[in-house]
Amino acid sequence: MEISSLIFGRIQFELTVALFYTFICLSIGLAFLLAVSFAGKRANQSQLSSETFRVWLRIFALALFSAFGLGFLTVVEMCVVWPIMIARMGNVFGPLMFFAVVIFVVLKSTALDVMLFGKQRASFVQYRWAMRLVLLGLTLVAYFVIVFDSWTRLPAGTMMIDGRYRIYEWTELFAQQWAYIQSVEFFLQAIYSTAGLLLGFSAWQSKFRPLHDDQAIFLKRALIWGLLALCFHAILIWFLYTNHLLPYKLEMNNIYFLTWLSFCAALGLWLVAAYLSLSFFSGHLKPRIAFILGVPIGMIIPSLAWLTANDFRGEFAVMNAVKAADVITTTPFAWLVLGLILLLALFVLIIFGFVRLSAYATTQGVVPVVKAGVVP
Amino acid sequence: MSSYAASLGLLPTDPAFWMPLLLLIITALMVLGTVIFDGFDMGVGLLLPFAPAAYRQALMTSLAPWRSVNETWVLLTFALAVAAFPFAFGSILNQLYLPLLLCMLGVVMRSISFEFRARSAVVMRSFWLVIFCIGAFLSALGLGLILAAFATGYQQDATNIGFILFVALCVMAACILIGACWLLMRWEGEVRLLAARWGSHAVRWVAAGMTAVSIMLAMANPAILYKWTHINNLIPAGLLWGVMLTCFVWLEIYFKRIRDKNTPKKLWLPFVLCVVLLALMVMGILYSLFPFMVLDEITLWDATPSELSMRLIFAALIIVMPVIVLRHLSNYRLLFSPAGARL
Repeated sequence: MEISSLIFGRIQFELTVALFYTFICLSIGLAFLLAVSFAGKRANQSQLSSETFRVWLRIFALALFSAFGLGFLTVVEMCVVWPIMIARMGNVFGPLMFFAVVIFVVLKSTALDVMLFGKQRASFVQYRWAMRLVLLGLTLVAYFVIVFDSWTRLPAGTMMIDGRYRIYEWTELFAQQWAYIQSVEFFLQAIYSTAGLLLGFSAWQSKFRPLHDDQAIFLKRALIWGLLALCFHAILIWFLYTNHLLPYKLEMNNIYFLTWLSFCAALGLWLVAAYLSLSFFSGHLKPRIAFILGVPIGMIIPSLAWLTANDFRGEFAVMNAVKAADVITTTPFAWLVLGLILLLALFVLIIFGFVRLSAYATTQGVVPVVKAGVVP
Repeated sequence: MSSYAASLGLLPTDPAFWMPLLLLIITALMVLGTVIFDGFDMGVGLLLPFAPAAYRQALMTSLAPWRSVNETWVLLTFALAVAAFPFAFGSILNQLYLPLLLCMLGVVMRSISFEFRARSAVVMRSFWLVIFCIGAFLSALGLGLILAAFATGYQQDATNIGFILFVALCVMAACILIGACWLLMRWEGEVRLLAARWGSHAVRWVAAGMTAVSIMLAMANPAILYKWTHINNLIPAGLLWGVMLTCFVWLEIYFKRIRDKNTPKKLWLPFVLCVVLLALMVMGILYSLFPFMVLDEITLWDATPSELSMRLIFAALIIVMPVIVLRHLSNYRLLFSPAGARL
């Protein structure tokens, strides 16, 4: 396998997953913050008509549609970039991917529709439950993705027979220790990256029109959750590292240079996020700086976290068992380059659309959804 | 079936025998659903640049009631196909890198642009409409390339380039045809006349494409030629071609009547004829291939995952299918309602 094909294949696959990871993180983070603030015990129906709720529900919808598209693309990329891997681990990948997809489709057909379009038609109790179910469903979707990812790091519940992995104990596959840890990490990242995004867009709004009281309360609540999640994540990583529970070795060498670079960048962004949050609470927040730093914090931290964790695999697709170079596509190099260019164009489009529409919703208000009422 | 089971050393009642068969049937039904429902979506996207500027936004908006369920077909079908037949896909995905990527990029572009357009300010809606059209073009192109690759036995060399491009154009025509049939049902006036004109252009390309794919399949694979020309199969094969020819002629007559401003009563009929044509095409391909998933290389039973993995897939299907079927039925019940109906 030509090394250039391997590099181009990996770049396009990892970028797709990183972006998907970002948007699913933001979707879950927003679903959590909305559920905590508007579906809690003390919440009431009038809050659902507030502008804060409408704006953040809109941004949640935009993040979720982006995650949906990118999730689909991730499955396709997994198949076209690693076709031989599908042939080797189809027994494991198939059911896990299918579970994630069907849960999402069911969610999209039921609770998500109620949450996005049923505010007027559902009762407050039904609506509250729809929000909770969306949070649960999205977390489950993410969990199945994480289970597969963690299985490729520490294959459990399977054995290799005739060059193919076969499941011998599916409970062991679904309940891996590392998958639990990764899920907790993912959830924490979702909360603090979303808090960063929230801070950025709220700061941008304050440049054009002042924040309402309920908007400020929502932002404060999100930042408190974000800071707590940030601290807890730092403690978790330190605990895992000192107890040798990480499934990879932290080494400083040339192969892992990029990994270390993204690790340090993520750490830097954490510190910036903490600084911005503290500036907000002390009343010294500058809107332009907060927007320029806050939005990327939300968008970049999850991607960097994924790339960092993924690069620890080094040359392996499945740790210590299957090398990436052995399972990459043999498609012509020119096609891989063309594929990468097309994907990059799509990524730019999605990020542009998400940031522009979110900024528009916060500064100008929510545009009503275009619907077909009476068909001519 | 008993002889197939015996050749595998299994009983027909053995789950290892019938589970792959059932998965194949479900996958084929889902492929048909994707071709029909995502097809009219794609067709409308392909037709938007040819529609009068005053109608474009309204045409795209008219897809809204079905869009959220239409887009789930392709996701579910792809996920089920890969989960149910990973070992077949593993061997052909190398050849399908570009077609699949183009097709799925198009699907994602359509999905994103539709949702973003619905939530953007008026000034930005034209931009997202253009992206939707590009997405429809890429999806149809990718689908055409996949069909051409399949027909040529995944031999994509320079000698086949003319055929590949022709099939890609014909698949676009098929999308346009079903899109036009859908517009006939849902619109009146100028758009209906335009849809009839688009449909009557497209129907000839679709007929030519289906014939070309059938001929290429038979020429490239002697086993398929034998299957279709065997004396025992001549009557069913003749019937199938007869039904297809009738559908094409009927569609042509129907479009001509509408263009002559002699609007017939059953406006849902062209759409149903399209569905019949597409169903026959999917059945024909399935029959040509059976019992192989990759011709002469991987059988249906070699392509499926282990029994435990299949059980897990079935568990997911049994749990979610009722919800998905109910949701789709509730959404599509208005598909055939007359134009002007409140949705």
